[in-house]
Amino acid sequence: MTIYYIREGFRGIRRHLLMFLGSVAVITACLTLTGSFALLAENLDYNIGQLIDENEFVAYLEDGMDEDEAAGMESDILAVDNVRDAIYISSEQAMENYLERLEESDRLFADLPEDLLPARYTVYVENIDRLEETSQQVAALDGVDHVTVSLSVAEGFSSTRKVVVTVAALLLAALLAASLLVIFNTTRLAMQGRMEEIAVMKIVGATNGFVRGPFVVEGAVMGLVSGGLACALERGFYEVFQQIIESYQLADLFYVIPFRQVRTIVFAVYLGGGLFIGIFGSVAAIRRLLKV
Amino acid sequence: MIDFQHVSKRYKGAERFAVEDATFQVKDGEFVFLVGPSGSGKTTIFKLITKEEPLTEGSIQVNSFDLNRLKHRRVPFYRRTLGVVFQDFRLIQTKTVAENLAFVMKVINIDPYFIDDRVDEVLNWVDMADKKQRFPHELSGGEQQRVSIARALMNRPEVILADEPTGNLDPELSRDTLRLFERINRELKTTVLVVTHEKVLVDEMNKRVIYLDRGRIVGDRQQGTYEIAGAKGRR
Repeated sequence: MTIYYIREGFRGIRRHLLMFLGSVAVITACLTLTGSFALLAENLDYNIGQLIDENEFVAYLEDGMDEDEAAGMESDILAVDNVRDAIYISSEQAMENYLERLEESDRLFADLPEDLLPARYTVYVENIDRLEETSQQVAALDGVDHVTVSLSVAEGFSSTRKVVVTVAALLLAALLAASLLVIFNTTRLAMQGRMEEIAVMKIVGATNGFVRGPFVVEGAVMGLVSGGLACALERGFYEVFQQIIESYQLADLFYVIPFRQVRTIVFAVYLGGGLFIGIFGSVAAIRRLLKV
Repeated sequence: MIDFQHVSKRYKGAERFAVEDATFQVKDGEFVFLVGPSGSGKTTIFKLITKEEPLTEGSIQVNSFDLNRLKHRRVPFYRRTLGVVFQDFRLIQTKTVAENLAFVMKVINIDPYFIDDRVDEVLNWVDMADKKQRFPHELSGGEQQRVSIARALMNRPEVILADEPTGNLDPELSRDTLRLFERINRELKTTVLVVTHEKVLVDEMNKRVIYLDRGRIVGDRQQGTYEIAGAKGRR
């Protein structure tokens, strides 16, 4: 019976080639459009994520702590929940860094004592939303004098990321719903021409499964061809996007995830999505005709 | 056997019944004409028997299937006991004559070896063996109707139902078609129910006639004519 379904499925494609190609074009366009948007959103999210990861606060140590004691504080700070990393900066290193950032430092500050600035830790957090709470926990540790934290910057990044993710999810859902609607209507239109054939099948005693079989094969082929085409198109578009970013020298501002890193997931989603849409579209389109 | 007991059918949104309180029986091996003016409910009765439409009231029993209780998934198995013929033939245009016939048996997963034999047998029976590899559009209306009748015979049905089978044929071909149904009834002992408008042919055939008007059975006579005595139907 499976051989019959496959043979009839391919016969159906051959007989209604124009309709098949029309459906493939629509599914390919919808998949590529939705996928491109999803990839853009993923890149945007990744870049904001990078900015958030660079966020930090500084924990200043009490005066009079010797080098060993100060360096030993690292384990205490790392033990605080939500702390991802803590980098020790000695008084001398802090002064050196400070002087490097000032113009004419040699002339104005050459005589300042080396240990003028307190030793400190640059503390990185896991979850930016808990930055304030984490910084307070670190401030409460013995040996920590105080902490400085730019909460407004952290909150800004966090809010931006939430807005981007929400807007992207909403747009993606709308795009997906519109795509499914277009695909469903195209497939249903394609199936209308088969109404008579289906009616004959039903009246001579064909079960719904028997009627559906060749349409499932057609839908699967339609979906796989569309998914494959969408993969190829997406790869091309992605490369063009990458080149645009590079040609405008925006690569330092906006990092584009290399295609090879997303290739497997793109291929899997496109082929799987195409397969699902093709089968679901065909079967749903003939559902009403099966009620006879 | 077809057994209608007080069957009524009203379509959704319709004010009146398409069929109202219809009670009749068609015994095994009988030949019956179902006649009446347009809108009298003939096609609705046909569709109730083929289970294309559900009934509103009453009960229908066909070939030991109780249609009131028949589950949706069992309908295909019930339909395989029927042979159905339509006015517009309803042959699949993309299949040859042989493929149209074979398709009926493929549906029920019969071995291809038996299918080929049965196709030849049935095509010989309706005198269409030489047109086996033709497509429907290469045949005349009369030939297409013969193929459609052959298709109805493929699964050796207990009942053959024909809805206006001569509607698209000239008088001579109509006569031939009804003679073919009579032959099927006589030689194969198959029950035949023909829905028709063909007054002259119904009169010629001298078979049982059930007369419908406005959804009601207004006459039922053995060896009747189209104009049934006592029937006050419109023409």
